[in-house]
Amino acid sequence: MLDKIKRYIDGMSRPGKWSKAQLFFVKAVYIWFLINVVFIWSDRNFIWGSESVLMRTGGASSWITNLAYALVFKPSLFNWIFPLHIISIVASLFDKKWSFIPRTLVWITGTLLYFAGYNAFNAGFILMNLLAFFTIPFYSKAKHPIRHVMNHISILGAQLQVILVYGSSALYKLNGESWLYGEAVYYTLSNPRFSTNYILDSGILKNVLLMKISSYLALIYQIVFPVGVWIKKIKKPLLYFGIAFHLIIGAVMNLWDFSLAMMASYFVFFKD
Amino acid sequence: MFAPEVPEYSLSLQYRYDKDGSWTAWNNISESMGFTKSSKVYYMEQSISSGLAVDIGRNMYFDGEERKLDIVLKSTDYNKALYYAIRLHNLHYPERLQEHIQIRLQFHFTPELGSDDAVKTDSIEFPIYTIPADVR
Repeated sequence: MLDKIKRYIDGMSRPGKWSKAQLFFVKAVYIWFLINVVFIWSDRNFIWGSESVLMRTGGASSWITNLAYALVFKPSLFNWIFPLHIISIVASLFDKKWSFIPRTLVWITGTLLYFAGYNAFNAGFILMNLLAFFTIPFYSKAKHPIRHVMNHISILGAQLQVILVYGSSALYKLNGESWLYGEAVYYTLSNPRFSTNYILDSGILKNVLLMKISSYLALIYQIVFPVGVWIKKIKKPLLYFGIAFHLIIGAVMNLWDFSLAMMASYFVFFKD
Repeated sequence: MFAPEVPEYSLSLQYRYDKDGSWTAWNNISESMGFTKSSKVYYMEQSISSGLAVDIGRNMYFDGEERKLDIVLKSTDYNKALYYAIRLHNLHYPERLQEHIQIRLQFHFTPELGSDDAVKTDSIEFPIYTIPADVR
């Protein structure tokens, strides 16, 4: 094990053998941001800018004092930041020497947009913004050893971030009653916010066994993921189960942005 | 599905307002304006409602049988909900709000798993708010 770690560290300054999926992962992060722009386009003025329906609270009135809250302090900046966000996303799709510049801009503008409109977003936006941060220095055709090290850190950081999402989520769940009693899926799907009329009227919610099995499956998946994703034999089935799991969340719970974010993050684990 | 604890209720944020001397009926805010579940406006409304529900849980208290909301009324969550209702109405309808608005938060309690009970509903009604002249 120690030898393996030593070899990994030694290999960091050498070119990485990135799988097609891992190369696509970097693009997938920015494709998600593009899809997100499409999702929110018709409602963007309700979230940000001078017509926002979100009350702005707290902090100083100068945006310099806290860059992350610039859009909170000065909503009119939205007219500049949102177009810059979109242009940077498109430029970030390219795997070029200069890609770190638009990618840094996506991360900064994404942070600004999130904090000014956090009521409009779920954990999907936060995850993708974190993954965008890790992808900033990635350049697959890098020649310099330092850039090789950066590439390795990009991919490893992104992998650890996804594992942290599942691990912390599982730990929180183990502290709550509804997951341990197998009732979480039932309460979630009974809430019209996270359900469809079809589910609510179908009688499926009366099936106690199905509700309990679904809850425990979701919980077990999140507990197993952080360890299982490193084990060759179960990695692929685990990731395919995850894709199905998130497709269901997207379709049933109307959380497409979150589901797409989780599915996009899986590419970083696939090897050819 | 990633939340540590799942609420055992769903929420509806409703409002009514005075129009030509009489009160309108209570309406779900975004739904009454035609926003669907896939809209970010609906998502924001639910997020604001969740914040308000948590604040009610923490700061509402009873004086005998009477619900006391004085601490909740000073909270960011209540003011956020009120601001949202006023702003969305004034942006959506050509006729702006006149003088008064009132919001309420409806809780729809989900029956226990396997139970045949119906959904129980309770409302927390906030006092009438007089809209400042410069906002009308």
